[in-house]
Amino acid sequence: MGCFHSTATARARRRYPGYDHPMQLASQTAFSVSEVEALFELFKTISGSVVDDGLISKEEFQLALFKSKMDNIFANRIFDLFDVKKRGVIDFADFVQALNVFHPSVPMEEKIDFSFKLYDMDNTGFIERKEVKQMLIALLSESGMRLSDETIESILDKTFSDADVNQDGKIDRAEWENFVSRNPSLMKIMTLPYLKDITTTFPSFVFNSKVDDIVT
Amino acid sequence: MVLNFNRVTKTELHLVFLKHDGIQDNPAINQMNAFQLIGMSSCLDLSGFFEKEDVSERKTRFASNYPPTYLFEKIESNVINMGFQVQKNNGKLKVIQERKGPTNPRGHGSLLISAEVFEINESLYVVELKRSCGDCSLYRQLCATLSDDLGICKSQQLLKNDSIRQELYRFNSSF
Repeated sequence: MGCFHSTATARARRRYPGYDHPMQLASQTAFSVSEVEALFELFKTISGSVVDDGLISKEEFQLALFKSKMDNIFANRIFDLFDVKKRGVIDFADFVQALNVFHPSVPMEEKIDFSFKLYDMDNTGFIERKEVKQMLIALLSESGMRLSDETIESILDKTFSDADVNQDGKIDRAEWENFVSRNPSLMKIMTLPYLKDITTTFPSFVFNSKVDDIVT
Repeated sequence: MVLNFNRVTKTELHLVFLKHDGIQDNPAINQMNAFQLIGMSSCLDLSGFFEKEDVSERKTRFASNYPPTYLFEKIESNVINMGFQVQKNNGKLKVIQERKGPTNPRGHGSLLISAEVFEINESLYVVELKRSCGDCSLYRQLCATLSDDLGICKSQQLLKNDSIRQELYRFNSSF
């Protein structure tokens, strides 16, 4: 990378392990340099909320999202997908790369990929009926809704007869893509409109803005 | 500081009803699948990173046995009972509350809520109430009232009610 920002990056890396220069991250994602800088402001707040080590722990992740410690299967699964290096913590590069998938401009293919991994809780490469049942029960419990087992089973029957084309009791990657193309509303959770206005939500006055001016 | 008790504070409540109309012949298609339900989870909503309030201040849902038309009628009558004035315009329900009191420090308040009804089966629906902006406590009050009045627990309690049970017994034994 360019020599004029290497010392600054080295300094930031000592404070924030895994830090990548905003220009590097902007080139790999749908974010502009200023947007990555804004995400860094957000990252600094979240990663410092419990232990100021420049990394986001599971607890800090939950606090940021739910304003309380929320140990639940969805929260845990999302954390695992952000934690690509499987170290139990999320660094700045992980954070930006993961949020990138939720950017409105990112191709649907990436969103479909992420959502498939999200629902494939045990990483078998298939979304099994028992996993969907588990997630459905979690949703009902969270919403304070109680449905009979009969009703739950009928919802699952309907879903699987629709999505599980080869009727093998599980949904594979191709079946998921097909199902999503027929039910595009399923991808609503994979886009965060907030990411388009992030520079106004988190204005940053970091020295890097000078670099930005030269480049743009 | 002088409190002006004669000034009317207007809080506008905009209620938008979204109903999924059955455009297709097969009614089963309009019924929610498991993933649509799962996707409603607040724990899959990353907007928490960008919002100060907890997601429960922005999204609420409850199950109901009542059909969509009845639900919308009851939501409308409930907001009227809460002291809001109702204006219907272009399929949207606009509700205005006028109250006399000390001037709201934030000035002219505006509360925007959308009510959406989803079908699970012919006798089971999910109502989702989302607040886009405005007073949280007013929103929570409205959600509590509506879920008490229209939610599934209410209909189950009615069945437990003795007089209704006797009525059903008499009805059944006449066959």
